[in-house]
Amino acid sequence: MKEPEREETKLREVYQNYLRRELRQPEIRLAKKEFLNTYFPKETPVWLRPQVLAPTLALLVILLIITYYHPSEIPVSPGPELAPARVEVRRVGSGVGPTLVYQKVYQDVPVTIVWVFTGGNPQ
Amino acid sequence: MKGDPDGDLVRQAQAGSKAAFGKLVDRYYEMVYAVAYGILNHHEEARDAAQEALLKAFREIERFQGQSKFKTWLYRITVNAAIDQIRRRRPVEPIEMGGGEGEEEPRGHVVSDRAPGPREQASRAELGRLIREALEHLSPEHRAVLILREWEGLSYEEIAETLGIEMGTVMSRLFYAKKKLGEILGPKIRGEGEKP
Repeated sequence: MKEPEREETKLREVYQNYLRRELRQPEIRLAKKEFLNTYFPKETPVWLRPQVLAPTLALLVILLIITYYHPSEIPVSPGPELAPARVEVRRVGSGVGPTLVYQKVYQDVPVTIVWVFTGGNPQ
Repeated sequence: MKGDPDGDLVRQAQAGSKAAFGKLVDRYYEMVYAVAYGILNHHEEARDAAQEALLKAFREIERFQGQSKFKTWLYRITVNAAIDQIRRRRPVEPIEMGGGEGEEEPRGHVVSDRAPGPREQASRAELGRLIREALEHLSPEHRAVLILREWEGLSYEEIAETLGIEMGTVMSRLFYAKKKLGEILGPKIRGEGEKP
């Protein structure tokens, strides 16, 4: 190889090595990542989007309930036993019409009593 | 766009797919950065120019008609973005050649697979500084031809198409750039060659 050619080759080598070193900096990779995330974020797959994922999960839960839920197996607690309400009425009358409504409190429970006089005023 | 390896992604991007263009960015970011750095010789400016070029390409992708390859079109946008960046530069102090006290360290640190010894590190830093200074003596247009040819490996024809200039101009710019680098770096290169 002639001297000028050798020098040109060496020059090319020096230039390329210089660029190789300069372009190996980790900051370049970080800037690329940041740039991509900012301007061109990767699209979420259709099945992972909330508008698809939420109804799918809801449907799955419903299906699981239907499959594994047996109402007979679930213990049912008996309701509180209350003594039958006993209201002592001595006299009933209405001066306003065939219907009479009033409230009484029985064991802390308000009871609404409605009297309907189908045959007229029983006085 | 027939025969363009990026044809499919380009068509998707033209149809409005940001994700498709993201894949093109992922593919060409380093290339765009290298070209910008080759012209600007400065990392922060190269990053700005590279990202500006990519965003411009995204904005104008609909106008890309596929008369050249997407890569060639992107080279052109990058070179223009880098040259615009230089025009926006504030005037800088002239570069002094030669050694001396209080000299600045080269911009950017050198990362290597193996740790070089102090002598090698100093020699590399010195060579890096010399190359950087030598490149500063070239115009951005000369540096563009140099990086496209010597780093990207483009043919004279491809460079002419990219830069929109005659092939003869490409050759003369390349000749001048190498001559200038040879004048500045020659003694150092020859000196290194003579070392045992």
